[in-house]
Amino acid sequence: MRRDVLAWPYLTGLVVLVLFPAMAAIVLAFTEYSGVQPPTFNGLENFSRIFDDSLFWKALANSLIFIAISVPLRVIAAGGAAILLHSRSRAAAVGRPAAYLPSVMPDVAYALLWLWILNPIYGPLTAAFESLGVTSPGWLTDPWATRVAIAVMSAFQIGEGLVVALAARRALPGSIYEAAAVDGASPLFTLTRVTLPLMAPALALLALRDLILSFQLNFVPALIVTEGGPRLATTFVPLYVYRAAFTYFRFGYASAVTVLLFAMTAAVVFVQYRLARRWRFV
Amino acid sequence: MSVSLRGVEKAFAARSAAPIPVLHGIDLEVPDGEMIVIVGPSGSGKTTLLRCIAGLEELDRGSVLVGGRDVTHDDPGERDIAMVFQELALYPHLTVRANIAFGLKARKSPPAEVAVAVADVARTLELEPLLGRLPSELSGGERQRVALARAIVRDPTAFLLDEPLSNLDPALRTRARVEIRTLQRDLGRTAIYVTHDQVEAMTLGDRIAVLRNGRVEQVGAPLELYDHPASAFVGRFLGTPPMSILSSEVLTPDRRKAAAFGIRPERVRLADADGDVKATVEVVEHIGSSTVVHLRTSHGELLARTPGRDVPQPGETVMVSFADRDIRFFESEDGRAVTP
Amino acid sequence: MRNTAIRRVAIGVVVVIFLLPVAFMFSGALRPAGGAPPEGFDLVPDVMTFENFRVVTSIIDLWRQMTNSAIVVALAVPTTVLIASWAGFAIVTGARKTRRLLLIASVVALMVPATALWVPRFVMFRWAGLLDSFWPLIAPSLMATSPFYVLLFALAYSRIPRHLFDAARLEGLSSLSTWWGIAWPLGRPTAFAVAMLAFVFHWSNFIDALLYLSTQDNYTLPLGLRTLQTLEPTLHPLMLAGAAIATVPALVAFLLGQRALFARTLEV
Repeated sequence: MRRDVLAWPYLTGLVVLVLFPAMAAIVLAFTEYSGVQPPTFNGLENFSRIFDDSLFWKALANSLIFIAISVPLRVIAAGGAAILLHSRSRAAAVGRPAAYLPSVMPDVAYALLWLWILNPIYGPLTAAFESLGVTSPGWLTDPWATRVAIAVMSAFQIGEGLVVALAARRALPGSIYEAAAVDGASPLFTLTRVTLPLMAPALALLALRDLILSFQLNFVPALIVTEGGPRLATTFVPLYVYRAAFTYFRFGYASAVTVLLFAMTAAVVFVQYRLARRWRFV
Repeated sequence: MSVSLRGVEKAFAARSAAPIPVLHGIDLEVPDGEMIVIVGPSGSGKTTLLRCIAGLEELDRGSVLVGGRDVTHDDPGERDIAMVFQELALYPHLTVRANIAFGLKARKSPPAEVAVAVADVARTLELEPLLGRLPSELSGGERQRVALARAIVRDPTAFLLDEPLSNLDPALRTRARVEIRTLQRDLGRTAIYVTHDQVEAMTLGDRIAVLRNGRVEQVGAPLELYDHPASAFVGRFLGTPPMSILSSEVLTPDRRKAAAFGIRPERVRLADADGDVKATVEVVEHIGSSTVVHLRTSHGELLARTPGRDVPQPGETVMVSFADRDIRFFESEDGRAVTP
Repeated sequence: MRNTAIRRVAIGVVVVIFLLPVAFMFSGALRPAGGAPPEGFDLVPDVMTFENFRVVTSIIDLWRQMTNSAIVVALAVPTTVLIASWAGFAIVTGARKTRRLLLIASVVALMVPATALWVPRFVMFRWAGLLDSFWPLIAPSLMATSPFYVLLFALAYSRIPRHLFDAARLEGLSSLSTWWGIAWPLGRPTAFAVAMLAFVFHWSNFIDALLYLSTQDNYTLPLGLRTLQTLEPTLHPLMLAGAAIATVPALVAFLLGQRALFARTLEV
């Protein structure tokens, strides 16, 4: 193990910043803790409160709606862009950084931008709709329009997914594409019968990662663009946790929500893992 | 059907430099049903030539005809040819059955016909027990047969094979070589086979085309090339051990018909006293069936091969001789053949 | 070739779509603040002004916040690169067990929702007395900021011929010398790419600043920008000017590093 010393700083970092906090969260979940007095054990009290809190269920439902819209959008965008942009052509070399560009914008700057874009009076989106002669939905006022807007917003920032999908596409051997060309396969046939099945494991992993990312992806937009509204339509789980912990200082309660998040994530990962085992062909 | 190449030229673009020419005007006629082997050292352009025929590379100039039809600008899939790749290029996510059927499905053949064709090919190549497996579950030899099956199932007008045996171990390679030859004869289809292995070239081809630096050095039947190489290069390239090429200075003046000459090792006679040329033994290699003696003469190295094992020892000086009919003359030690 | 043409057009569409946010931001930042609502849609405003960039620096303490961000970045980026590079090296050259451990730990860490770590990390940093300092913002660099960067290094180092590492081991070189002598110089483009990604991350890091910083003077740029959220809609151009100022350094870093990421690390 001596030759693996270089792994230690990273592993130590993970223990201190991920493993230890995760375990601390589990302990805090069973306490009453406001940050002023030391935590006191209160059993399953927090969990029973969570189940009684209609706002939690609302936030969870909102998050699931967000996931249902944003994860497919983002995976299709990242996978599609990677398939389109993996070649060594000059056009692709321009396209790759362009597709990554929105991900480079600081989250706050990006949120402020959308605050303007979605503004019903001053925003360009409303103006664009009107110049097409279509009544603009009430961005920031209609619950569904706002949810969709937040999900679409997230679909531009796919940089990391693009990198993963590009690496996956690049790993496919060129010779099988030549074999497909000689076999007379059309581009569409090659896409559906060769590229997509071979990229499926990577895209599934991407979807999984995205699903988990979705729990935090909408935090900054919800905090800055919509402030959880309209009518709580964009109060997602992260915003709910944030307010519980840092507005109302209910650390024990927020930890309990966190633990539920862990449990849900673990369940999703487990199901995905069982499904993904079927794809081990390479 | 026949395959014809007319003045095929191809260069590869280089980063911030002039394009690097790979093929300089190749002309080649492959008649219907013939197996031709394109052979040459690495970098001679043989794989590029094959890819040009397949349509995987665009030509800079010249044309490719399949069965008299100009396919120069057709996509690979429209040329009605099949190719076996060096890497085999099996679809890793598809079973053997689906791999074989891929090309037919891509061409939208009716499912019933696909099933019949796949079953036929699987029977011919003894792949029936493997049809449900994935490529990762097959041995090297089995994968190789699947690649062949995928090529022949479409019943194409011509086969292109790019060093298809290079990933097999030697024992398997000999068997696969015989299988390919038998298969091609039975199907009666034109085949173009690229290899750098001159044993494969000699044993597989109806004819051999030797490629060197993007030019066809010589085309002909294997033994014709072996016996009458058109250049010193061909003489050296075909045959193990290769033909020895020496300056004619070694010969007595009355026998010198050109600047250089070549002699096959098995035609060199190791005599004790009354030979023509004096040589020193440097190395003796016992192959088992024969013995190869490396000799040094005043004008270059000379190889001799004898069936016997009783040969002079390293360091000994011997006299060697060759018959006039076994000598091949060349313009230079790297030149064209000269017919006396 | 028809397919190439279709591909080019599709790439063109993708480029336009993904350039829209940045284009809108600059277009909005150049509009005169305080004007009437736009009549109809215009990406290029009729009247353009750079005034907003000057005014916004008087609304928020932009220069101080930039300096704070720069301090965080200056410490976090090199640490991230070093630790990610070491871990990536260990994934490629380490013993079987270590490799498995590193890969599993990385994937698990990627799968942990960041939201779930807010409360316990906050409690932890408070216990350590580090609240309202830059340390909690720099801390993620101790775990290479993101396991993703470790995997990028592993990808790059896995392309270095194994026998180079084996030869170094036979020579009796320590893993640190092997890393420094072989992996680091051969993987330099990836180090550059990861440095760029880490810069973009730490420069943009809003959530950690929101959780841990409380004194105005300690605000980093992303946290400071948040104040602009409260500007009334007629003053949105000022808000966008602030957003643009914050975006430009990240944009420049990305444009400098994108070739190292795409062409040299992913080899696309």
